[in-house]
Amino acid sequence: MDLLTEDQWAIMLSRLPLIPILLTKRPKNNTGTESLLEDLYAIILARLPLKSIITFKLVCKQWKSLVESPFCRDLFISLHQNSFPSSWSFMCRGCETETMAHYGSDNWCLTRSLGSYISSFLADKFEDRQGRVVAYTDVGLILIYAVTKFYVANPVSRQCVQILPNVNVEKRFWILGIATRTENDVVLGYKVVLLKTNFTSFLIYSSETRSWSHETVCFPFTFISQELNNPISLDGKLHWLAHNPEYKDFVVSFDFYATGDKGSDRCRVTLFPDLDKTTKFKRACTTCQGFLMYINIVSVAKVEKLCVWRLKSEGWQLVSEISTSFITAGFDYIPLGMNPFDDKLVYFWRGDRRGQDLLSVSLHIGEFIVHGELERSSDGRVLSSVGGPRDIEYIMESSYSSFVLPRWLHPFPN
Amino acid sequence: MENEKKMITLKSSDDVTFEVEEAVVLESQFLSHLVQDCPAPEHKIKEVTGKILSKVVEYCEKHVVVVVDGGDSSSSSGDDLKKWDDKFIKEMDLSTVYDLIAAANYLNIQALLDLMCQRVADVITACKDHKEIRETLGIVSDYTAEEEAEVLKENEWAFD
Repeated sequence: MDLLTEDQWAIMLSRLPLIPILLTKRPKNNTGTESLLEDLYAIILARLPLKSIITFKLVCKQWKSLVESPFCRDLFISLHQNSFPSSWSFMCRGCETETMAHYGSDNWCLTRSLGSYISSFLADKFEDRQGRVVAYTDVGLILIYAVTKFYVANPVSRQCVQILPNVNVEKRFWILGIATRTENDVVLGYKVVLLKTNFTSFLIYSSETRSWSHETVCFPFTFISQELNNPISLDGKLHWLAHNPEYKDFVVSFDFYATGDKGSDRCRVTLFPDLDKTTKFKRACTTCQGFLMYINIVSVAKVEKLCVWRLKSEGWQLVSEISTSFITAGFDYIPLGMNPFDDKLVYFWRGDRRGQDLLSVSLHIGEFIVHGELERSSDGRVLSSVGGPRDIEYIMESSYSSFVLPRWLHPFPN
Repeated sequence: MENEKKMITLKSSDDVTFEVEEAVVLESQFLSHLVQDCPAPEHKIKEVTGKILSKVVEYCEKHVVVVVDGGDSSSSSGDDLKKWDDKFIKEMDLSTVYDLIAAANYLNIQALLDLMCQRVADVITACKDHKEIRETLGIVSDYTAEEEAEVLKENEWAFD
């Protein structure tokens, strides 16, 4: 038996472990040097950091199309399955201040934090600090508002799209944020969402239609207030907090890419899971591995526990409950959020009159680490708790967004 | 049993034959399935030439874990193996490296594939810019000056 038949090939391939090279590209029988070299270059290039790969586009047209091919992207992502796949930061809402940053030994190999990319981008693009970031996403996009105009940008690649203004946007609408549609870390579309101040309609700019449109909304719940200052963008949805007339807090999840017509299908309401308990922190959500997460310290049978929930389609799921031995008397604490790629790491800021620290708490072992202002691990990862000493009251009052780069860079739609 | 090691003959596309121990063949996922499914004494590998197959066999023989009589593992220690790998790739020109990558990919020998790809990746990263990459790998640019400037502009951030 010299050559395998098609069927034998199929059996052979089905037995092999998931090695993307073999599964996506079956070796060619005609070893034409051109196509073979092309495959080889993709296999080789996909091993290098994203930042280097981008520079290879300059070599020749073939390399450019290779680098931009889905084959190269899939290979790259499968070869870079590490625990630190991308750079990310916690950004303080309402300003461009970064509370903590994680970058370095990831797919991108950035040498500075995302916050510094944002500030240098804003400084170059807008005069007199007129551009303000009004929303962050988990796919590398930020929404900027500057003198009645909106801009969607990736501050690292510096791709920036100006959105044609709609009349009188400023006075009558809340800026909710930016909902994104993605597939395999590639942004296929986005919507900039504003909400009329009387809560009766959205004004939505869609990258698909390249225009603004009104959409009447009737929220399927009663509320006394909605917290519209920090919605979280996740997989086509925006999530924000609201309070009902009984002063119960709940999460509103609105799907801006749902196909159903009925408003009730697109809008979901979930009461917080700890409403009958005493909680330590003001309620706020964070994200991890594509899920909306909620962290709080809750009294369970008079014992305080750090609890973490994940929002699933059937409701909140308690994913962790550990002792609060990391809490030291005399300090004020605020949860910043979860590591977007590690569902066992929660970050806290703590401070007293003398100073402030960044803390990470492992949900595995319940232990905590106090981080220095700039930490460099042996593999080149950098963790920095930037921002410097500030008023602890200010820190406590702020809300935080995680800003995450995708694992692969692809231009987003203009 | 200990003294009778099962031998397998591999035949290259240009009919060069190599007699190797079964353990050596098992380094290749592709060949181990082939040997299991088809217990013939000789296997022809049409996709690989004798020159390249000799390199593959040389690599696999070095990397195979050999258990001698006392039960001690006599496979080369990590450091030695690394030194051997370094010497192995240094002696090769790029076109041999490419052929070996294709062979390692085809035969599914992950460690050899990794080693060879890393070698080319190192060559590429050692270049200071795209012009040096072109020279080193013998690639002729098909960009016009305008097109090249355009690509540079689009991807400026990556060059700082």
